[in-house]
Amino acid sequence: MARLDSSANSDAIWPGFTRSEAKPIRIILIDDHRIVREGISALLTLENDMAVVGDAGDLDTGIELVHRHKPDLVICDLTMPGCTGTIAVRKLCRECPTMRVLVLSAHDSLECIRESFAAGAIGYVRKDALRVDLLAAVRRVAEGAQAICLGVSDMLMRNWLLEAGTTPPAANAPLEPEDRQILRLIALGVPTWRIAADLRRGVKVVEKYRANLMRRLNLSSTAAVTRYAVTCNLLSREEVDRLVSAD
Amino acid sequence: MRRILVIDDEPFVLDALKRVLATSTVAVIGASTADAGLSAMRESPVDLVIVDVILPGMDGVAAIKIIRRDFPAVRIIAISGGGNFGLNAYLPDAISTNAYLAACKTAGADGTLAKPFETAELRALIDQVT
Repeated sequence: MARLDSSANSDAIWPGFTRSEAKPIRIILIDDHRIVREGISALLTLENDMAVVGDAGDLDTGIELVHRHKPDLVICDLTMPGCTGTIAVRKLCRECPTMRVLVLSAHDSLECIRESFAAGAIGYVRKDALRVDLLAAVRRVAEGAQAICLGVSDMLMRNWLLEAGTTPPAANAPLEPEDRQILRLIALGVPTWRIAADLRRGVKVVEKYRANLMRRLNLSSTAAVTRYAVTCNLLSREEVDRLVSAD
Repeated sequence: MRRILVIDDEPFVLDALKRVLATSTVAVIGASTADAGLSAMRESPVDLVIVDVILPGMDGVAAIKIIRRDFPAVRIIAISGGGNFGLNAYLPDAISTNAYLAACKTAGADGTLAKPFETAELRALIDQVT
């Protein structure tokens, strides 16, 4: 029989293991609309892992609160009295360099989004986004990862497609179900041998099918197939998000 | 006779709610601002207030706080389309709408409903809160 060591007398199952206590994400809200502050605060307070430690209707008061409470995250509007564009983000990041700033704004121009990140923001969520989008962004940003809502992600994807420079092929080309399936897999970067295995076809058969399909649709590269698949909505939103984050 | 006060600055919503809620035993009065609604309540008591959030002048959240303080027995339902006008502009799932309605709940609303809603949904909520 194995001999029990002295730790067997303690109450621990795994001696030395203690679960680190999850601390709530401490948040300060800065928005000149009182109802928005009250409402966002009420929404975030419902989450066990989030705590709103202060809110302010103007930037200067917000900065004071940040110095006093040292939160994990600031959720900040862009347009407030005496404060337009990304001045608020720039000032917050300059005053509190270790601070993480998540923009929550009704503005949705690419310029605004780009400037916000350039000014030091780590996330951008539009006010017409879903509640779950904001909660997901808060959690990602609190961990130090960049986050955007789905609406912004869609805008960036459209812009990326336009900047790619090639005119997307006609999205209404007649496609058989098998065409769609193979285009999807190519767009997702699945190698030919794997497509062949999944469809229980020979590798050469799939290679030929793929080449014919791309020729018929005037697609010269995998990137072009991906753009085509996005244009034709062959990919789910999650798949597009994965492609964008891997790009 | 039960009395319902509807406060909404969208004339269409005001008229529609009057039309669908008024019966032989329910009187519906309307106001397009919170101040007008509060004045109406002071003149003649009501049982239920249905109040929009974004209004010209005093907003719905501030109005709910006053109603809770001055008329504690009155039931309150807050409605919002996220600060937008019209069926196609409402954002029922948006953060803004969620936030407005959450603020109303915190201020003391008994129930909340995002615009657009069906008559049956409103009637069910009225039954629930009264």
